[in-house]
Amino acid sequence: MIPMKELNKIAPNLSKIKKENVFRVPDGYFEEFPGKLMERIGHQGDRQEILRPLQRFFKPPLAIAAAILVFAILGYLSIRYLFSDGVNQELSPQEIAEYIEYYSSDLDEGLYYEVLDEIEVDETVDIDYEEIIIDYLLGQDVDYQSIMENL
Amino acid sequence: MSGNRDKELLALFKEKESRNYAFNQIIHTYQERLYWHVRRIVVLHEDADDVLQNTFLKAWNGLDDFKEGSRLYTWLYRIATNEALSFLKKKRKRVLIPDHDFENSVMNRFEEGDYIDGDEIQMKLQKAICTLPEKQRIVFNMKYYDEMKYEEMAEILKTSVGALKASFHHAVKKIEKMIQED
Repeated sequence: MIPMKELNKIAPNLSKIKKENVFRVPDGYFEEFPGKLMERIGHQGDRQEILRPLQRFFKPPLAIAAAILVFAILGYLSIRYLFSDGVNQELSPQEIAEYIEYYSSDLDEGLYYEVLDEIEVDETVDIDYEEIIIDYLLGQDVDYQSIMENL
Repeated sequence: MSGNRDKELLALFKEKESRNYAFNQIIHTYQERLYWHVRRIVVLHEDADDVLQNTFLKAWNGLDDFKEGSRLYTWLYRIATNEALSFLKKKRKRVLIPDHDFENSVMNRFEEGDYIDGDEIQMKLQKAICTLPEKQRIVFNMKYYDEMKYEEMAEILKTSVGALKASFHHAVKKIEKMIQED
């Protein structure tokens, strides 16, 4: 607990406010919650009863496969590092895409939108959307007869 | 709940026949405290309900590996905090809210949510709390409302007592300033 004296000293206005819980719950929520949850656990348990033998069977081979994969990747990276000059290596579009996907959670969205705003769109290029749509429709197996009849 | 009662329940949980009974007791004991903790983080009741269910599901799945050296209460609190934070993170990504706008979005939740009721001064305090950065808001709520010891908070949030004290101090100062300004 925070000593009132301390709170009074650093925040006199806050210390005057009565400590209250402003949040409410629907009637009977806490009475019903354990039953609702145990039911969910029961369903999950049924599923696990089926999955557990499979997991037990596949777990050791999967662990071995994962270990081999890690060693293979480490080996590949070491060899690549040893035989490369380490300067200005070109990245393939796939590598860039993988990198972005991996780090996408750390992307600053504000910066992303700023960059998008800065990209100039060449409005002089005239795209014939009508032609593209017609080409697309011709490529599909559309029953024109029935469309015309319904119009 | 005493440590001895926790030990008893953990022992019962290990037995197949008493597993459900023991877990039911654990839910009854901790559900309210965990609910209010989660609710203060996610604000809306429906979200708090989801997070609380996920918290107990994780506890059910992880209780076999629970190390008896740690306390059940802090372990559950840690799961609940992490669940609530990752819930907000997912929600933020889904609606594409940039990080710097997130405090506003928490406040919006507060203004639009059901099952929230308080007088003017209480609402002013809640809005001030909503303006705090996420971690600072959690520290403030745990200390101010849950009245937790810094040592317990440090165990749950995996940080130092000093950092928590500083964080709480900053939060209080900011809230005080906001209350004064209005």
